[in-house]
Amino acid sequence: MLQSAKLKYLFPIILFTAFFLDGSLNQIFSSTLFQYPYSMICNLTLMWFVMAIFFEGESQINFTLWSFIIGIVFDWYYTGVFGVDTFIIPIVVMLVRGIRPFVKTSFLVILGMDMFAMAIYNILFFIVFQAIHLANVSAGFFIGYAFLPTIILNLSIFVILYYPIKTLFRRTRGTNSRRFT
Amino acid sequence: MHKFFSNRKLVIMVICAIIAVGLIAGSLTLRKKDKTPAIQKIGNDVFGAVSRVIAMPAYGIQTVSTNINNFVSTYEENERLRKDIDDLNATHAENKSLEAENKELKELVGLKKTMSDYSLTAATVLTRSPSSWQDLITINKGTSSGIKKNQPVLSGTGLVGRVIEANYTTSKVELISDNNESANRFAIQVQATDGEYVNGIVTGYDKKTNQIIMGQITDEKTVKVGSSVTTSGLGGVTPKGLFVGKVIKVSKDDYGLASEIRIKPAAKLSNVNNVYIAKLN
Repeated sequence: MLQSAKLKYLFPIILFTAFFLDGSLNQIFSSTLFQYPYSMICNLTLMWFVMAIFFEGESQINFTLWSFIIGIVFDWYYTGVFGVDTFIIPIVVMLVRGIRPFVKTSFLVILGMDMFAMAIYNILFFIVFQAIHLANVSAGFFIGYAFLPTIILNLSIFVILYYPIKTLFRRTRGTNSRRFT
Repeated sequence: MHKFFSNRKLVIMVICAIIAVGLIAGSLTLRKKDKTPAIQKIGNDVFGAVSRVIAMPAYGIQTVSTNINNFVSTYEENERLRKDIDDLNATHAENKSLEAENKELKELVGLKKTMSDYSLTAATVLTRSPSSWQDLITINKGTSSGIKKNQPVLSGTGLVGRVIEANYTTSKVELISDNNESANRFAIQVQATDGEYVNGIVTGYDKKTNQIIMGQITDEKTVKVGSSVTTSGLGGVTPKGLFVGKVIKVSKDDYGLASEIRIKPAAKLSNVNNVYIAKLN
């Protein structure tokens, strides 16, 4: 049987599932994730983007468009301040896509890229929120109690989910020789 | 190698930046208004519904695990609760008679509405925003259940936050641990040693020590450590007498002018599951 790139349709579905799971998981495990002063944020959405960028194969997903859409929905549903994630997520996604041709596709590289994406995302978010006075914490406090714990949490989730997601991509992205779009 | 910043890209970037600034400014202005625009409300409700469906299996797992945990500790808890129940019944009866008396007296004086008349609407928390900066939660009740912007939100034990966006079937609540400068502050009071009340407002939250900071206190009165802090009802939005927490430290503020009271919040702000929204009658 010929295999078409199912990923094209699967990608947005999982993207939104990851997006809504982020909020729900943060709520369900809030007593573990938010032990003030420490706060960890689970960010499956960004991880899904990074993995998809590396494993897309021939599926031709419009990442910029999807990152823009998910950014708007994030601002809409989670923060109520439009124009923050709407642009930050596309910037992060475009950066990762820009770097992708220069690196190998290996576990460690993708782990590093996930860390890079998380870092850029959190730093940009911090800068914007400081500028509009919605975040009122010092940079030192931010790095020690929010930024590092968040990155550690997300990297551990990444390690657990890497192989299952990789297998999923292998099965759904279509292959070079049997290209159907 | 092509130029990274071609002219077209640069123009697009500048336009995006301008749009971003405009959008942020617009939404910050909207936050201050009484009502949320209909389109934003509908969107939020739709996302809320999707989120409910997606989170269902996750919540199922949570329920099972808490059930198992509860089962283990049921026996001890039962013993303890049995003792409490007798006590509660007596208090409940006393409360009923006091409430009736209060009502009669109010009628005698001709008082129709006071700041301590409020009713509670129960709601469940759907999500917690995945953002380190805002301590926002989304609850499953909205304007269709009579919830309005700026109403205070309580957990079982005390004040946790305020409604900042009321949609039709969901609402966003900003927790008091959110340290932003544009937050609507709660007016609170605490009883001083001479029996009179000291008024102030919640000026911030110290995440390092988990304390609510009560500032802008005008009276120079001694406040005992351990006294209860409640909302004062000043300002006309928040009912009077909602429990906030207990005083753990009294000191001068950073400038040495007014005193600053540190409060240990009654509610556990890192883990908010079921909440009540208080509305004035």
